Amino acid sequence: MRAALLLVWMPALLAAHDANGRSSAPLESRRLVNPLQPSEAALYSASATFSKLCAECHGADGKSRTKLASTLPSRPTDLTDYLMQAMKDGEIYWIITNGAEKGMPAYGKQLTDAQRWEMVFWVRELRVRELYAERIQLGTYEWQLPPGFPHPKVPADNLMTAEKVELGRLLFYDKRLSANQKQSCGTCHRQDKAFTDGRARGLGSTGELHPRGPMSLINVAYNSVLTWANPNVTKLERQALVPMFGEHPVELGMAGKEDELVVRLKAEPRYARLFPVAFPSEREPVTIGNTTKAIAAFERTLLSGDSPYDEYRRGDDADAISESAKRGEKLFYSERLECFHCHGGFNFTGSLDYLGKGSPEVEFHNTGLYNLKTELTYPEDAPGLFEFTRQKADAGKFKAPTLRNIALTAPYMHDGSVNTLEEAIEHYRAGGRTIKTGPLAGVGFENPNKSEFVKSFELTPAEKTDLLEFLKSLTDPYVAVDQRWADPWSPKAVTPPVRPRHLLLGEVVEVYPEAGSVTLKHGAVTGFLKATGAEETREFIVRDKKELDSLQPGARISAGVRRRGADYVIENVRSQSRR
Amino acid sequence: MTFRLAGFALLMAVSARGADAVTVRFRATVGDEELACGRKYSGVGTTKSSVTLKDFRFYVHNVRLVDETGHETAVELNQGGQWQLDDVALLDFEDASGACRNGTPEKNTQVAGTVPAGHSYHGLRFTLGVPFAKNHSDLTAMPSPLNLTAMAWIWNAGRRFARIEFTSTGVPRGYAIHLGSTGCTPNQSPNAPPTKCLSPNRVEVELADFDPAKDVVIADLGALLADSDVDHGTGCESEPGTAACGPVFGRLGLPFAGRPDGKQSFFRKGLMEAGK
Repeated sequence: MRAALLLVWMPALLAAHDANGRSSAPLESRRLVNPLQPSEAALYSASATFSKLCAECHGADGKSRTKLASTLPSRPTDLTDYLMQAMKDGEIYWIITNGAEKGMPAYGKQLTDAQRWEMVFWVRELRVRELYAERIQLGTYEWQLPPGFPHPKVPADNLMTAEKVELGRLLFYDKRLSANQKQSCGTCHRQDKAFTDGRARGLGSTGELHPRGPMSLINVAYNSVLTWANPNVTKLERQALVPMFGEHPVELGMAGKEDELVVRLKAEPRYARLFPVAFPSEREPVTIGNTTKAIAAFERTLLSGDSPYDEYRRGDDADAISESAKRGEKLFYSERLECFHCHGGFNFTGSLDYLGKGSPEVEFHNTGLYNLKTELTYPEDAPGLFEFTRQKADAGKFKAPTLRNIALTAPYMHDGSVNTLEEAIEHYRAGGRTIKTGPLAGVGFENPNKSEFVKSFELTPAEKTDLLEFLKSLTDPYVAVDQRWADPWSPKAVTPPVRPRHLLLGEVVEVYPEAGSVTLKHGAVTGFLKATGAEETREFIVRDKKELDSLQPGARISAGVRRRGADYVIENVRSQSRR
Repeated sequence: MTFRLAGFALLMAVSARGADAVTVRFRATVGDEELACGRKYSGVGTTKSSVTLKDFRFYVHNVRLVDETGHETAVELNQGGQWQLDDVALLDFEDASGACRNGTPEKNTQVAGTVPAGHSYHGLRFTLGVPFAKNHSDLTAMPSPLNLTAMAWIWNAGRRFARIEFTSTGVPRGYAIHLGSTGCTPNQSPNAPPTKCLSPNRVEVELADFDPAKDVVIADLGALLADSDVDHGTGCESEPGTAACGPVFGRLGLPFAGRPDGKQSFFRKGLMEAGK
């Protein structure tokens, strides 16, 4: 029995975490809380221990690029890698204590409990230092990255600022960007549908039908290629020109009307204020280039990683998803179903790029959606990658879109020809779609270009339900309502809940009822807040009056924390029992 | 004052090298008729269709004159205006009137530059299109004439070398010929322009016995469409799978569907229009 259990764990134990950020520590370890308060002294002591015991493999900077590291059978984990953020304090502590099979030795005996918890602070610090180094490359914008997400890449000539993002949001939803002023980007990329439009195929401002459907913009900052099958479109700034000025098909229909667009934009007072602050060094900031830059900056903020599945995976809530969804997760990651080969990684797509990633990965796959008796086997108006490479082997190859929020983005596939998730699962179960009659007739299973991962598999009705439940657990409830992404021109703007992005643990020092705030001693929130010790405290605004009234000095609380301007705001305050 | 000094310096430089100003003039026609927005032309193509112009613009580059010894000399294009950038020029025969409403009011019917002085030139060569090094540049970062969205071909990561559009008897919604590089795929490194286009579709033009002082280049829409049926379909987007591209590419001397390249017959030498 014990041997069998070991076998199950072994592949995972080789490194601290796998490519999806899932660590080799048991899930229970995620709920261990660091009993120490971070302090300069603790960090100093931990860094000395690190130099002595850890640096030979992990390097003084934690990047594990040491001579010794290169000779080990299993490479030591890069402690500055973004995946470290997916790990909880408790998991890091667990691995320091117990080590990893065939990898890191256990330090449970060599170090005291306190020393191991101090070391957790230092390991965290290594990643935080890397984050600050990365931010210099990205601009001053305060990213609210979902936990465990890396920084996206940002072009050096379009660094992120809050002003640019605000401008981009206005432009994104501005119908003046279409010739007849009937459509904006937001017409086909609707927030309530995770920035798709619910149609099978897009419909342009002049009524022209697009051969493909609009893709979700959620987490588009991480996409290595931006459209269904065009390998040339890799930057959001350039992509924005396609709907604006493209003519096959006409979308916003602005080809040849760039001067008119600039005139329209200059006439809007909000732009007269925002273009100069978003592009401060330019004498004539209202340009097409800056319009696309601002839109791209806004699009890069459409980040989502707060689905129930994420909560479950992060160990925040073991019951965030149903037992059925948990079984579905196993199916999703199984070699029987093969889903994860093309929909893997934190964004559930193989076409991925982010800061610190050596090469962007770009993948296009033929899934056997069609097998016409024509040379290309796919309908002519959307032949996939073939359109650009002219290789017959590339006919029908499209990008695997992210599966995040997939329940919101029906219908499915590049041409919306699959109506429901059930049908999509059925498509893959059969290993391709068979169309019996009509001009599109053909057995997709037999498409010569079909991906090796799209093969048929057995799936019981119960398993199908499980897989479906898993896919539905990938829906982030904040995506459809996040106020920061809503149409700023709309008069009926509502005030939906704002996501409590970061979880803060702390102790109340003082309550200030008149100011509506408290001061807290609190732990570090990775990538967001440094911990404060006994002497140093920080003020937090408590939005909810009832929550504020319930707080007493000395109370230990957990709360969602976010930034509002220069202030920090906490909400969803919960009291923690004293240990 | 600074400006005048700079201008003076430029003149000095030019004269020191010994350069002659040269202007290569273009005309656009349907047969012998002058091409213009708002006019209708009959007898076009294999179906003798009637067509009304919507757009007629094209880029040229690598303009050369052939001297008395048979050597070709590059024309150095004048810089600073809206029509010429480095070695690229845009010829524009629409004036945004009539059915050309998506165009620009200004026209440009010439390429102006300099050649080394002291030679007699009696031949003209140029390339229809935008050179590779500039074709895939970011339109929002380029000066005129490479910043025109109507001439951009963003989907194919480049420019339209020629934008020729008209309505015909059979296709009143519009027939379009968009010439440009197709089959383009990216460089290995991200954000770099495409390394290769399977169909560059640049047209080499040579007009022998051409004297810029008295001859003009005629771009004849009638000749371009001589083998085309413009009463059916929607036109040619330079895609090898589009049958309508066959006859147009034939007239441009471009290879198509296994047929090798040949001589172009879209451009020819002519005289200035009578009375102009």
